[in-house]
Amino acid sequence: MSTPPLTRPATRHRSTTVDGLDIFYREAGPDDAPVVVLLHGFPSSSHMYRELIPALADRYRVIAPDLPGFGLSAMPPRGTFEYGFAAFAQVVDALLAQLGATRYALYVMDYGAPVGFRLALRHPERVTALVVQNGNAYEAGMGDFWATTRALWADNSAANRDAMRPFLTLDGTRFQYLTGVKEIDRIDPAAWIHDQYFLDRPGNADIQLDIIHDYRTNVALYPAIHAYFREFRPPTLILWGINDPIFLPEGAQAFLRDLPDAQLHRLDTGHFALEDKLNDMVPLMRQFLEPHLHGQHAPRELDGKENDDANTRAD
Amino acid sequence: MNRPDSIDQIDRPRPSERPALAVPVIHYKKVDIDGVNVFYREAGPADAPVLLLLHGFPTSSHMFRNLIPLLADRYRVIAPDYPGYGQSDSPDRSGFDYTFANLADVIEKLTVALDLTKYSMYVMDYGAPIGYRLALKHPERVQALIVQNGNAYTEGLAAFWDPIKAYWADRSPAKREALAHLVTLELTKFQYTDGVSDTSRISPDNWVVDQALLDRPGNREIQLDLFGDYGSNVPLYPDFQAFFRQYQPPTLIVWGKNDVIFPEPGAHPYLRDLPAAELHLLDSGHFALEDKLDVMAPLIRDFLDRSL
Repeated sequence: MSTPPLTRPATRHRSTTVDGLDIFYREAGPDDAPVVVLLHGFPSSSHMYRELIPALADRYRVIAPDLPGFGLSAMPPRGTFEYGFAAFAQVVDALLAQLGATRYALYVMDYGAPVGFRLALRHPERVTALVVQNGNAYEAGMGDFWATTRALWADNSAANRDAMRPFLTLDGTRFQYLTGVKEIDRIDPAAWIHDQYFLDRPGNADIQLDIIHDYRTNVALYPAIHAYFREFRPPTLILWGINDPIFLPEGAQAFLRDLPDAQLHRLDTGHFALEDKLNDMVPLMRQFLEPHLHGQHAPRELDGKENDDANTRAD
Repeated sequence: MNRPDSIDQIDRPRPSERPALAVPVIHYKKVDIDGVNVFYREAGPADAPVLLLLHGFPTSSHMFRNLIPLLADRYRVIAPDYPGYGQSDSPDRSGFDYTFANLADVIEKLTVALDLTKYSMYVMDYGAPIGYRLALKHPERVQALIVQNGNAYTEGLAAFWDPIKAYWADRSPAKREALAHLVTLELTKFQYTDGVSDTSRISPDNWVVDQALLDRPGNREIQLDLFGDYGSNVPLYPDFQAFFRQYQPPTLIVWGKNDVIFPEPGAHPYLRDLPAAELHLLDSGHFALEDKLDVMAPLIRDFLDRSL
């Protein structure tokens, strides 16, 4: 009695030079398939997508970069690189250009949200769909957790920086993975082993504090991001761990103001929802992406040439 | 578009709808064995045949992370971390013997704690002597063997082992220190990449996670103890081989033929004692699962389906 062999598409682990920086990315799937870009959160890297990538790669070309200062990408010293979200968006934009990805769906989580939305502001016509997972674009999503961060935004003093440092320790990292999770035994401890290995590198803590300080510039862009949503109406799937203390479920609901057609699924988990809810999220994502990336109706109101390209690639 | 307001209203696609892909749930658990928290990954139906995955140095059940989901629909898969590895406790050397005899005892007690009365074993590197020691204790419990770069024959201990053999012969601090390079990042990367033709298939997660754990205070001495104790496995090779001959467990050998740690000459002698074993040589190195999973998973499923 034999069963059909299962398999798992191979993920490639590659590095390339982007704007003078060594940028690591994971890539899987057919070269000519529609592109899905996965943008990671703090303090992780493309490692957070290690299980999602093979679950999409039979249908999509999946690209998941590590931001500078994270994972296996370069960590240039402070002062030689402007650690912040404008620079991150520039690096990802340049990487995708180098990889020939001219149209793409974006999966954005945590830091990945402002990076991805900045990318969308630069190239709204390139974005075929959005999957938003605990990735914020509304003040409503930011509650008490942000008090120490807001103090840092108001005054980037040594004392305010020091107040954030516990968040960069192993306890802080474990907190991000475990808070709000109902079945702790679904969480792979490799998640925080991996993340902490990179956070503990000499010099990384102050880099992270610079990035946290720069996060305020994302909040200032929220109105522009909302205008992009309203004008371009990207097909949007919102998957939100509703027990996340960092980005509250009110932040998920708020997307519907500007994207009334978005699908919102509330997941009974925390910040890194993929860790314990992958089995629920993969079917939702595949069902959502299929008509938008492989279907006949191309993404809305874009110029015809781009749409033709997309349809050719999809077939 | 549906917009459910509660968690319960999530629509799950019907199995027949095209973009649905089943993703098995993996559980990450711990069990107390004589005061030591032993971590293990578990997946699959509770009443399915059991497959015990026994890892190599310097890794943990992490090395099976990609294989487990490909077997969990049909098998109850259990992959422990030995004490001193992965997420298991690393008790102080003064109160815990880091020997293969003791690690095999811990795994035996884990099988009792989890009520595993019959099991197949996937053995790799350190997993081989640990699994074979378990087999000597309870030969009737072993339903099948999958051997991947896991040694049981002196033919398989080649030049890589010369400095380790020197420490077996002379337990001096100098001979011990001569092995310290084996726990460095450089060697950990080497174990994953050497003999691999397409290294882009090798996830750097391997050496990030392994090295983070090797670099824990005190772990280096634990590893040096076990290099020394690996010598205790070699005198047991005749017993392992007698077990193979007497019990003839269905056996699949999948061997990365470019491995310099357990090279191909260690694979062939199994056929002397297990003439019915299937031997597949793979164009890979020591951690063959990292780049040859797409070949190995179907071989393993087919073998287990026929054997169990």
